[in-house]
Amino acid sequence: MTEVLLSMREITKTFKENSVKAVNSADLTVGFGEIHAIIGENGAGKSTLMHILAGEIPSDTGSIMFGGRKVYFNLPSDALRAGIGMLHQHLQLIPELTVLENIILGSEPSSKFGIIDRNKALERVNDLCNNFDIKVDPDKTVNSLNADEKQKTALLSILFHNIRLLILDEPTTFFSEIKKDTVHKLIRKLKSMGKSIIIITHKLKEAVTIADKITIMKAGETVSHINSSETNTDQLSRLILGEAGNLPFTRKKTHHGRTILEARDLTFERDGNNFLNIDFTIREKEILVVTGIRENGLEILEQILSGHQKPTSGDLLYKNQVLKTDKHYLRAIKAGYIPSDRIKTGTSIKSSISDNIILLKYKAFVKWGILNTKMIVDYSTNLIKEYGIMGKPGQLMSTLSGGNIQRVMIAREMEANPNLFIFAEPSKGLDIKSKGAIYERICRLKEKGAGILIISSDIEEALMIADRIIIMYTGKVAASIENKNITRAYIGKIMLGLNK
Amino acid sequence: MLDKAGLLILAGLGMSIAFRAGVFNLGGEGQVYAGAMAAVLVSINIGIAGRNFGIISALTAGILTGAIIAGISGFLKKQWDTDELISSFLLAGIVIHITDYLISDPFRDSSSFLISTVKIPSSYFLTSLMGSSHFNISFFIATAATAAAFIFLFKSPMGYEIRLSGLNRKFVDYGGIPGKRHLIIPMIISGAMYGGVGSFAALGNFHMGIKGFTAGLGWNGIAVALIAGNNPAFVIPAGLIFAYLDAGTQVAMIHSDLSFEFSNLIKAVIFFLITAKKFTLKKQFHFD
Repeated sequence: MTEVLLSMREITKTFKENSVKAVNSADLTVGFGEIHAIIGENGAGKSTLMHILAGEIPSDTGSIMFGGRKVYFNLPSDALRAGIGMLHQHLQLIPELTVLENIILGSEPSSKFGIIDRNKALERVNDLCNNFDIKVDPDKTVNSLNADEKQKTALLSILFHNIRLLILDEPTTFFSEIKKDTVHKLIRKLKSMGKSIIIITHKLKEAVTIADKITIMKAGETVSHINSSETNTDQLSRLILGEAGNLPFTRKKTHHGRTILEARDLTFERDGNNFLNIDFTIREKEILVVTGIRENGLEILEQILSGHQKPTSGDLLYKNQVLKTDKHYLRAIKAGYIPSDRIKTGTSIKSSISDNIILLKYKAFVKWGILNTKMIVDYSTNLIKEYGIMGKPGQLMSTLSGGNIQRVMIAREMEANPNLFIFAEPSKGLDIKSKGAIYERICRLKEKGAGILIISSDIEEALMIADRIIIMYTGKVAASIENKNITRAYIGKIMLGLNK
Repeated sequence: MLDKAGLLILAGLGMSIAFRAGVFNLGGEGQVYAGAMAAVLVSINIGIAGRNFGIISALTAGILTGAIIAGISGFLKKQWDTDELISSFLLAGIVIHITDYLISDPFRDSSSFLISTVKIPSSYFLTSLMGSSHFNISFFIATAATAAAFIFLFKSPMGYEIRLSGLNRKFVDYGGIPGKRHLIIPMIISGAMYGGVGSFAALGNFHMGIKGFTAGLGWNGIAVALIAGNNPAFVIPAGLIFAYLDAGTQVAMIHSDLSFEFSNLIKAVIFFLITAKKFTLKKQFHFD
């Protein structure tokens, strides 16, 4: 038995907004140099428990012992000073400052007269980079970085504060196969330095391979603590779901109809890089999944399809008519769209569920020039029930869990009955059960006759729901294949460019 | 005091709607002043007319003037993404000087000791409803406007769009609603309200254009909106509090040897305490 670094006892947190016990009498023990995975469904309380530990939200009851002392954190900076750092799913960086300034923020090395000692700072950051084999340009401003570099910067900014315990919230959700290895290498390196790591993950395989111990959370409670050497993914998924852990979903075959959306040689050039040259067609009752590594063209494709970037050449045709794309064209052709950026684009997080759910239909509730509140509440209440959203019509979106935010968006889009539906990363950050439910919904829409385009970096997902799969590699279509007798490994090879 | 409250309520309302939409109109001073001047000019030039016709055309002129001035900033923002905060402020600077000039030269009443225009015909006066005070119908119009603004913001489809625009303009565009529209419309609404404030002040309180006569109303509108937390329902109490403070400090100045500066200092302290986030009414209105 290793010596105990952290012990959380009987932590409980009830959110005032919806009086839900997000965390209920949870216990957690982490030893020195231990990698500890926390797994569970969406809304099981994993993130909340960790936010409490990192000093971001206060718990109602319970105690935390850290390094042999009883601690109480009012602020994240208290936790950081004590040696607990958390890397968030949504990175918290200041975009206008440089990488270096972001990293040293909060504990700037200063020379005499309180002036920041830039050389000392640079030296320490470079040491850190060498130590962990991370490469970033310290003088770039954060808003000029790509997603990957931002992640690195955020990580460095935590490591800079001599921490003893690092909390990682879904560190590999966004990472492709290659980068996942980098993250895992880094975690092991930290372990070898005697640091402890808590990792929140949905990926059971990840939990088994990397963690020493695993804690399972369910409905706010920590239901079991297991050594990872004594378990496997099947057992874990049974523990999480309380049933056979396979996705409760099978794809149905449909006969495709007429062409709905067609891309002809869609191209986007930037800084000498030539993205795409993409051709595809989506027919009625067909699901096309475009997969690959996000930076290899998926991001640009979404930007073009959503009208936020104009293609430099090539055409997009809707029912054989050439489209002029702009920010509003998708809604003008009555298409459904859920963006990968759910928080900033796909929802109004500071508005109520009702206000979000009626976005595409609010004009239908107007009577005598006034929005009819009763009709809106009834409509929202029905959808909340039908789509299994945990919340009330007037509740703010910001109080919902990721899975529930997702459901609100899906309810809104599906109820508009689109005949073209574009969905980016449908199950990003969701647990198995929610995933199954979403695939079910997508398929039902398909059976009704819609053409569906899914942009997803998740291979399993592509195999699960696609009728056809397009695989992108370095901005080009590397393969366009029917989803018949193909394996995960085969797609993996193509998206990494290893098939030649 | 109540007449002042009516003006403050109206100004606060305009700002609340603009703030809700996430646009900032810092040109209130200019819009009020120019609106007041427009009302005065119309009154003087039309001369004797049917009582209601005259008053309504003077009011309309004031409202339009305010709306146009603010609308320009909204248009610049929509077209070239010019910061409306700065453009409205600078535009007000220009407008104030032009109005000053109009009052002190072409339209000056040379027989008066004040730098002012001639008195407007008495048929344009808003009748006082309470003895020697200037309390007039504008207070009730402001109250009615509050109810209208509340319904507009929380119950009308355009209000829905405006609220969403203020919270997340990307989301509005994503929903297929042209979000840029709600850069101009709320600017125009707040400008129109400010223009109305100016006209009411001219017709109800001053009965002529005096150099700098509406100074302060524009800024105070912002203060009222902030106290009210940008919620029309709280604009009435906020306007009353503010007017009460104003009247209180004046009385204190007249009846004691409290200096002007010190009375303003007290006002400022009270205002600080009210606006401190911790004490403000945080209740938001949603469909419950």
